[in-house]
Amino acid sequence: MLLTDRHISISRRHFARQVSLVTAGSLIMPCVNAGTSHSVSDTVVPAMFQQETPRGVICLLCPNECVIKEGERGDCRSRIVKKSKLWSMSYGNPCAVNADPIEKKPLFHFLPGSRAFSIAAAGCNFSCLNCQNWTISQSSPDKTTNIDLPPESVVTESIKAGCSSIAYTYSEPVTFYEYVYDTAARARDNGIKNIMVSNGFINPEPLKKLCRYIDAANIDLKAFSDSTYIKLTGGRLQPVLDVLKIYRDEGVWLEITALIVPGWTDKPDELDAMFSWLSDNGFRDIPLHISRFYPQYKLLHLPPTPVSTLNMAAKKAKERGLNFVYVDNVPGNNTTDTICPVCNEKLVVRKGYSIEKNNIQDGRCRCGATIPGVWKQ
Amino acid sequence: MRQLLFITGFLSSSVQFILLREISCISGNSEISTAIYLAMWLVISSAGAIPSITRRGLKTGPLMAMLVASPPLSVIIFILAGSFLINPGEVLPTPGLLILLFFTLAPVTLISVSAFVRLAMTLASDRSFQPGNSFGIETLGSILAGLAATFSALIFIPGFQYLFIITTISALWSAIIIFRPTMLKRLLLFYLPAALIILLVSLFPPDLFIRSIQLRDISVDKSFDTPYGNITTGTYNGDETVYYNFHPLFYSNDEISREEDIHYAMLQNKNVSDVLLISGGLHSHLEEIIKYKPVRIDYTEADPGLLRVEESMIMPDYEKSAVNIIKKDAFRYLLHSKKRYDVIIQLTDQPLTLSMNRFYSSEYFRAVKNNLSDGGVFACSPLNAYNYASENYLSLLSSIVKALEESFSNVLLIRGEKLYLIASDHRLTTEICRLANERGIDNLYVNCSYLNDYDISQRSREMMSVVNRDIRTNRLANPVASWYGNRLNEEKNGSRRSYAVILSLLILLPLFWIKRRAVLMFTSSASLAGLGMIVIFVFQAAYGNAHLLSALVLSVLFAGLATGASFRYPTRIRSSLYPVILALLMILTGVLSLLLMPSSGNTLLFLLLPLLVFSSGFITGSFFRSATRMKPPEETAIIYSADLSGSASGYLVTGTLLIPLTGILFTTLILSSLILISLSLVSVRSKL
Repeated sequence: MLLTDRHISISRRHFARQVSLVTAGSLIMPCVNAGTSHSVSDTVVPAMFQQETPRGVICLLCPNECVIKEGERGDCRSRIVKKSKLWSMSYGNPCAVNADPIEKKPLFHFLPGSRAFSIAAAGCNFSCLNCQNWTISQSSPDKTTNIDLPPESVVTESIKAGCSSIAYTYSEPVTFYEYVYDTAARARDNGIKNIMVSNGFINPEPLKKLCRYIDAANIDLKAFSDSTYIKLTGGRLQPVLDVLKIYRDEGVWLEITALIVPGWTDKPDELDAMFSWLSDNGFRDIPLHISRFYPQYKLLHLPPTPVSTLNMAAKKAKERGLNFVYVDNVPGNNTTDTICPVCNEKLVVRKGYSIEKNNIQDGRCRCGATIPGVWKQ
Repeated sequence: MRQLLFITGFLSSSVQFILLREISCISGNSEISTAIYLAMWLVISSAGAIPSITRRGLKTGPLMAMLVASPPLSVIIFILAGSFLINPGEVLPTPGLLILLFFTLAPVTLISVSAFVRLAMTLASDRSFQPGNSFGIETLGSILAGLAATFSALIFIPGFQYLFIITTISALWSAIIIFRPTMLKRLLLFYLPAALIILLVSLFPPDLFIRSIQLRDISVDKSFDTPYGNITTGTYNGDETVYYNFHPLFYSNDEISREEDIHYAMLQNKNVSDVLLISGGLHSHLEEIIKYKPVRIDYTEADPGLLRVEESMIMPDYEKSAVNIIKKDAFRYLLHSKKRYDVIIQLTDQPLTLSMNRFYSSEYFRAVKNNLSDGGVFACSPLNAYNYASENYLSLLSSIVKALEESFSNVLLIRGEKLYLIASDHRLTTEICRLANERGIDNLYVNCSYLNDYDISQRSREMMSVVNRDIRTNRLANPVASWYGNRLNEEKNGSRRSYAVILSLLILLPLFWIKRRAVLMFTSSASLAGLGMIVIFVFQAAYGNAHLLSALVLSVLFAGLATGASFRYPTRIRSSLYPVILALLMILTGVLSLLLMPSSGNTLLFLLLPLLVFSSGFITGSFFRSATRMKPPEETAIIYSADLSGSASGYLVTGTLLIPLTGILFTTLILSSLILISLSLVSVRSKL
């Protein structure tokens, strides 16, 4: 018998089925090994800020304003529509919990030397190409392994850990708004401060409601052009600028972080425009953290930001009239000290995340100048 | 005509090797992207093989002109489409990879397969010339292409410069064969222009220009290829960075990484006399190591290109005789070395690929242990550190922790910017700040200002508590870490499902055009490709040196195929015997690999496995010849198409699924079963 004989007939469908079975089996096997994530179905709570429409439920929490159909989720992956209602899947379900130095958030003018109880639930309304927390932010609460930690337990645990504040951080706290809101209210009752570390992409109404309980915020200003914002993060610039003003006007202590990404956000013109806007819109006394980029997530083919670029940006910011400019995460660069803008005295000397010296007395320099910030509990 | 066939094989394979390296660089060196590349190449070729039968009108001259024009065209498409699809600094995402691959590979694959079928059919019209011979000649071209590409990388010739030179030579050679010009015409029309092009490309390598487009705002100073990948040096805003396969490797102000790399391990041992640093760069880390004033510092690096870069850098001031550079693969060095080190720090790439997996296997850790002094400390960093560890991340970590625990009684996890694994038979501590203070080690980052012993200890305990003991241990023959590494990459790309769909499609797609009578050719070729992957993997595990050994194995496999396809038999052998022999050879390869692999560097292994590869290639080649003998020329294309599609499926399934999931022995058993099942199905059908 010759194998190439034209009369030999194997059913193509039969053969395809055989191969499919082998392939499918191989694809399914790892899922069994990998285990399953914890169920979140018993901890979903009704989402705040939703509107039912014939097209679906509109989530009014952030400027994405997703129109979500039955069974679907919003862009943030943590809010789902069931029975024509929007639900938050991240309530009481943090997947990351740590006690961090507050300088790591970074907050330099807010209770220096204290520790912040930091929590995060999965999800984000951005999709930054350089996200350093992509394992949380680009996942969803039903895919992560979570800790059962209701708001009252967060407060208890933070007190136990000796923290002065609770930081809603790592991923995007806006996406677990209800959890933040309830936890912050309880923390306030127990004398614990609340900190938002956020991308600032939230609608004005929910933000104003939340600001009642928030004491401090560090907001990322990721770029200063809409096109860069869209390409780099998937978000937009103007809503973030509006949010900065709301935080300031609502009396929340605010600090801003600008991550300088080579080739993306280091154009001198764009940096100039950013610093000028901050200066012209009443943010001169708001600390600005200029942060170094390290290759992360999908941007692995870029070099870390040259220190000269960071120092150049800091110089520009000061020239534009910003009084408190820091260059973070560059050990040995000596650009993290707080200096009195009037007499140039070094008021807070920082080394890493430690405070070596703090000469601020009742929020003032020895020369009498007020140093804005929250310096005591 | 035979020479043209040889040129076709040589040129198309050369483009294949160069573009494979490029795709590997821009898509993050993942195995899946390599497998998708190979499969896409073969599937497009397979799809193009059958329609090319109908293009009888196309003459040899224009076809060869198109063939020699296709490599530059593919390069141009590759660069332009790459700039369009990839954001600055971004690793190519999966959908982009598919689009880029399709448009880049389509011209060169379709034209080369058309040229092959056309030339083979012309030759086949001569009754004395069998289709198997044409396959053999083309394959001979491929073998030479593999060897030449490897040699060019060994002497650091930039990839694109090499490609443009060989394309010019191929064009010249083809033109002389086709036009048969007089000596004067030959000189004026062909030799002079070709010499001019080669001179220009040699003086001004296109690689610098191409790299500057790929790296966007970076001003590229140098770029060359090594047997392990690409090294490019570029400047951005005055800062010089050395990129290894486009990843920044050496850059200024790298205090955080270099201090963490060294001190978490060095602080653990009070008596540091002999230190071994494995990869990661000597010049920057030396500054940290000499803070402990060791008597001897050995540094191993297998990539000669990286050593060349290191030589051009300024080393910190230290006793030169104390520093010793070992130009060897670390695994092989540790297996044969009799030296004892107080600290061994490994800074090799993460175990996200099969080739890197071996540096995190239990066999490797045993070799490390044998080279440590009493109380010696070993450190490696298999992963980045995140605030949340996903299932795949934990599984990968668990498989390595378990491998380490087989050799060391204490394993410690330190979560810095990367995740560090420290191992020793003596007590280990998380009191990094206290130790740095006590020993007076003056650091910018690894000190009490940035770190806190309580936090380090808490996080270490947390990470250790989630290590999954049910995950299999990472071993040479069972590279589970690379499997989870690939899945972690897919998770990062947000493309777990799309990868599964793409893989399934690439595997199943050829089934729609494979003719029934070519099914056994399909499975035989799939198994042969699988066998090639297994032997490449075994060789890499045993000897390292990925690209060189891959080229060697592929060359032996092609040589077997070519010999088998061209061999004239004295007697008529039953065709059904070929698949049976092939299946037996596969099982034998699996068993031998398992028996010989742990004793890495075994001469018997070196001799036996290539022999098995050659024999398997010979059997498949013979089967190809048997399947096309005494058949009309169209049959060649149909069988050739099945052969290509089968190879594609074999590479994909074996490289990405079977080896990482089931290990070597089971892979060979599955592949041999596949041949026997299809043989029995074919036999049953034919009897019905």
